[in-house]
Amino acid sequence: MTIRGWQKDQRGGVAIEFTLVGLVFMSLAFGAIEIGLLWWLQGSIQYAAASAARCAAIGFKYGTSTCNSKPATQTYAAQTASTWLVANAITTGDVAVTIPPFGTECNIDDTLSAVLVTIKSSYFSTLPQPLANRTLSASSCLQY
Amino acid sequence: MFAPLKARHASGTTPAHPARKRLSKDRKASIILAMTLTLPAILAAGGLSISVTDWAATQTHAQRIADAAALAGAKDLIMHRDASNAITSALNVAEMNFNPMGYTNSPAKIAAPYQTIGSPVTVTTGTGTDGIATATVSKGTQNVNDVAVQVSVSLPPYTSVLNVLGLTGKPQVSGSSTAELIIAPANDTQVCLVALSTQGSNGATGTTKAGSIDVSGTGSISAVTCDLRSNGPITSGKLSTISANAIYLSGFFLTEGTDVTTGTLQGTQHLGADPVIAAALAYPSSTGPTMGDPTYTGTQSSVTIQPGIYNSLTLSNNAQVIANPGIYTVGNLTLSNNASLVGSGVTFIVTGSLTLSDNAALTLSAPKTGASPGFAIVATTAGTVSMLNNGTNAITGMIYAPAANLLVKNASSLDVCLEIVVNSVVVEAGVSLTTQNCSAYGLPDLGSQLSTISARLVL
Repeated sequence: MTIRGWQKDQRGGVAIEFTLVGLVFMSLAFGAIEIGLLWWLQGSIQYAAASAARCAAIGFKYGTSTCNSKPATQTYAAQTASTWLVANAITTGDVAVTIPPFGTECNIDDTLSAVLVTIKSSYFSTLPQPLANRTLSASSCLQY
Repeated sequence: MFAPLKARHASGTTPAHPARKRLSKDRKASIILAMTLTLPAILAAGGLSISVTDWAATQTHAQRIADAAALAGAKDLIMHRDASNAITSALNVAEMNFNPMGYTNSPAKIAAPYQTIGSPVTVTTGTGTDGIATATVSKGTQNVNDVAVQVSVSLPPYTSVLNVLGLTGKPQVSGSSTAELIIAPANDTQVCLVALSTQGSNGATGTTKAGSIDVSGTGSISAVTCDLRSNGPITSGKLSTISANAIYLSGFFLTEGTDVTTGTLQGTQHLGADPVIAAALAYPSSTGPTMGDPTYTGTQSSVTIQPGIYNSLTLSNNAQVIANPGIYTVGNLTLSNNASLVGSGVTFIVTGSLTLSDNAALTLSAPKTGASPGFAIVATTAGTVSMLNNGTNAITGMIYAPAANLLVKNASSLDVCLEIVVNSVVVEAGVSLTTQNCSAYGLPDLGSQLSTISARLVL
């Protein structure tokens, strides 16, 4: 085939075009979907952390709410987060409840105590690229 | 751009309808087709994320509205002792927090009160609704004798991307909160232990928090016949025990370690009590001759000392010293290595440090009358009163160290008729700090505990 003929040949053009455009398009499409899923996860665990911190702040002080111990707070946080995701998406092992030492985190008023709830989740870590292997974290700290 | 149709017709296959043939070969708009297939997934994922985030934010808003409204209702209850008034306040606050621009101050619909509850604060129960909120005055959650205001908030359904797509219902978000009147009743029971610090024993510079009253390990405080009062936190170890007739606490109670439910606190807790401001008793006056800075050491037979003003007083290595009745003013009082100091009707005013170590033993009883009635040990400066000895400390009377941190470690014990007023106290593992009042002993009156009422969120 002459150079002139090769230049005129349009066979395979669609395949090349699809390869170039499709890669970008699929990345954008998957990326958009994965961002949505990860954002869903982030929003859910952030709400669960805030809700659990409030529950613990009241429960630790008065023992009246369901969160009257660290394990109870972990369970509450996991259940709350899973309600917003799917059942058992967040387990108690994903939830850390700590009493931050004075001078750290939100424990700045030393006439009060504080509780810090941190939730880490890799629930969507098996997503394909471009956002694979993501572990998200949310925390909430309250003084009481 | 495609191969000529005529060429294909010549291949011998059955000729298709020309229009259908063109359609099957037409690759134009293939991206649109792909978009059509993937767009629902993209929109669903995007809509889900936006909706959940929005939903969570709205849910948090509902909870905050409920918290603010419940507290407002409870504080109104403290002021007016009227359920209808409290419900109206709660509902107004809820409405203002929901939609300030659209706040109409519409009258709340309040059901007739029907039951009298609460002691000593007595109100009638009731419930009311207005717009987004329902408020109820009912019995307490933390204490059934208390009164609580419970507020439920339901925000209207909101429209999300998913709603538009019809992929989900319209979620209604709600929050619920309960604020209770925490009542610390008046009490005339004698106080055994007062911790005046509001910040705990480590103060503002420490990173490890210890309470104004701190009991660690297997340590214990036993004050079953009298009250504890703390202006700051009380902290205890998981194996520790604090027992008292009642515990008045301006700060919080917290057990150390990994689980807040362990550790034992026996006695009625009264959180939110007014801090003890005027436990400031007058220091006894220092009187008597100047006595220098004697040191007693060795296995010599017991020595008797006289009241007066000492620069320092040091006892070590089995020294046995008997203090005659009277007031001793001492710069630094130090006992170590099996030394013992015994005195009856004595007051030791320590202007420097008080340090007991090793097997030293301190057996002191305060005068019942005279210039320093009830005072056994007085520490006038900030610092540490350190009872690190393994011997027995039998103190009868009051340890008054309003600026000092009292350290009780190892196997020491404080016993008999004892009142302690300190800035803070640390009781370490294995120590039983027993305090009890001997009202006939002439101990200074620390005053009655006044009743206080505060409003706290409890659910």
